[in-house]
Amino acid sequence: MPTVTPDATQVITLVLPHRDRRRLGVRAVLTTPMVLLAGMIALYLWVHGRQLDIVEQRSLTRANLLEALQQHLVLVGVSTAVVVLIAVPLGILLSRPGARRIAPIVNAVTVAAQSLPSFGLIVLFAITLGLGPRYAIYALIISALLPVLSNTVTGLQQIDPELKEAASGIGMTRGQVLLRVELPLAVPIILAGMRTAIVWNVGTATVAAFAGGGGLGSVITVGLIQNRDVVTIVGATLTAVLALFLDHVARVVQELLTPQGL
Amino acid sequence: MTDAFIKLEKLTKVFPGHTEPAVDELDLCVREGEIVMLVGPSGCGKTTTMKMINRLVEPTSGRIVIDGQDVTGVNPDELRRRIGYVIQQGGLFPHLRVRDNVAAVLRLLGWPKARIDPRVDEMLELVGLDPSVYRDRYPKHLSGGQRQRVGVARALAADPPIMLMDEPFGAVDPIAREHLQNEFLRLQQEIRKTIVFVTHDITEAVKMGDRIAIVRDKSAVAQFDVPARVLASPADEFVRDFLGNNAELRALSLLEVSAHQFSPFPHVSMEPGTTQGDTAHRGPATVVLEDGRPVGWLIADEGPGRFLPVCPLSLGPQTMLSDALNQMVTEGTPAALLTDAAGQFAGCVEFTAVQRAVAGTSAGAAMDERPSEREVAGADGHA
Repeated sequence: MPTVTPDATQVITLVLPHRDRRRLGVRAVLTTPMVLLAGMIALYLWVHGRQLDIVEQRSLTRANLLEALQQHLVLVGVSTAVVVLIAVPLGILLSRPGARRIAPIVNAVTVAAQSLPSFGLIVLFAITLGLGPRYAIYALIISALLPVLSNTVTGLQQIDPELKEAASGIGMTRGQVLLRVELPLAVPIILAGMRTAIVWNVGTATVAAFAGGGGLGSVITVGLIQNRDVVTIVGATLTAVLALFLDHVARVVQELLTPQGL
Repeated sequence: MTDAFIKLEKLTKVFPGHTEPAVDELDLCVREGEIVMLVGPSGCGKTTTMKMINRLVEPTSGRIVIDGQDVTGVNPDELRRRIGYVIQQGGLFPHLRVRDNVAAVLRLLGWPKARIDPRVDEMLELVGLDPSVYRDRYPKHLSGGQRQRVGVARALAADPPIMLMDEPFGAVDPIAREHLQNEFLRLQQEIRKTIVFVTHDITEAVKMGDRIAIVRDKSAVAQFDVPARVLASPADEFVRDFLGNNAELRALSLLEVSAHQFSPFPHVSMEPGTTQGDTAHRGPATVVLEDGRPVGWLIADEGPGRFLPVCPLSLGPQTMLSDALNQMVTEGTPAALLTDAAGQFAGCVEFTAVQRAVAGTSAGAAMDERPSEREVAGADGHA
């Protein structure tokens, strides 16, 4: 037993955290995609092993599914991008001391927008504005605005005021305090809001099919209308896999962009 | 004596929504190279006062003059880059490594990278942190004391003539705080910054300050003087209350042990390795090794002599009567044992010498004549 002592000290020195290790290992990065891939293969084999009738065959062609997937990605990508472009700057503005009065009002409006049923919104836009992916995207933007906006505001507000004062105290201008201290420290929370928005939009975008927006929702709709369970299941599974995959990608990005030392 | 380096004239701050001013027509002068302590109860406006000097708080009225220049209206960001700022916990940016924290002001000032890196290492060494070990760490991997040091290094990096320190050592444990205070005083001997230091701890104020301003409500200065005089003759009841009832004891921590306080005691020579009872000496005697190093006392009131080992104090500018008293009380010896810088026996200070010093403080007479050591050194420096 006495021989243990020098080893023990060595272990202690090694464990001392003198350098940050990434929270995300290779295993954590790869597990989710592997599981999703396995799910897709299982789905493919299941569909392949079935006798498909003409309606099913026509709906489940590779070209048809890829087009739906691509349309879905456009709906989600464009709406999320616009949400970020609107909500992050707006959140920054609302977290400035000058906006203390209007912040609650804007917050109330976005909470209201969030609680509007997106299905109703999409249909409403389709009736009043017209059919097409464009109006579906409007509806998606409105319903996904809140998580990004509120997380941006929260992320900036949770920063220790003493730290912001220290930053001003050493001579940073307001802009420098925002860019060099506030935003880096708020990044994890802002990105968490974006993750929520993405997952939310993948789900909501299926409803766009009712407004002529296309996407994976049209696969599901065909399955439902024509009473073809296989088609419905393929559409729904693809949507779920896409949501899980994008969430995972966003999580990896979030970890990568989170400053070390936090 | 140098002119006022920082001059606050009728400085007033009324916060929006308040009718009463937080700071009311404050006049205060800080000389070049001195540490002025702003000390007072919480909520007295001392921090607000300090923050008006670098205009983190904009004064409602009044003037701030630094080195002859009225800075009340200059660009506050540029002003702050010329003033070191240290707060509790150091105010370090958690997402930046130690080196980037220290380099923060240098980057704002637009220093080229080639100059920044060596400067960062120099600053870390100055505050006693090995650059190769700490340069790349994040603040969360530092102890409270180390964070504080990095905070000081950051404030000093651009070599500002002025430092503002807001309870910088408030968040560390008492032992680390004492250590940081001593080190900072030593550092100040080297860097000679003009420092405004806010604290609520009168002990810290007495220890660190060349002068202390005791502040009451609305940042009104109740007394502004060298610590010894504040302790010896409090200006009024408020100051007396704030000092508490052991001001005399505190004064001891300002009085250096000097040779004229020594009392004679018999020596007993001892060879290393011998133990108690091998001498017939009566009464207390100091035990000094053959090479001249004192190691303790021989107490021999009755029966055989009993050896009491003591770690002696070293006579010097950092050794105060409070340390001597502490040695006597904790070791139970008849007097404090002191060595010179070489570790050789220098002398003994008896309890009566401490008593005499306390009496002298209360009378105030002796202290008035005695300029603080730092002021003397400062005068030499300017000559």
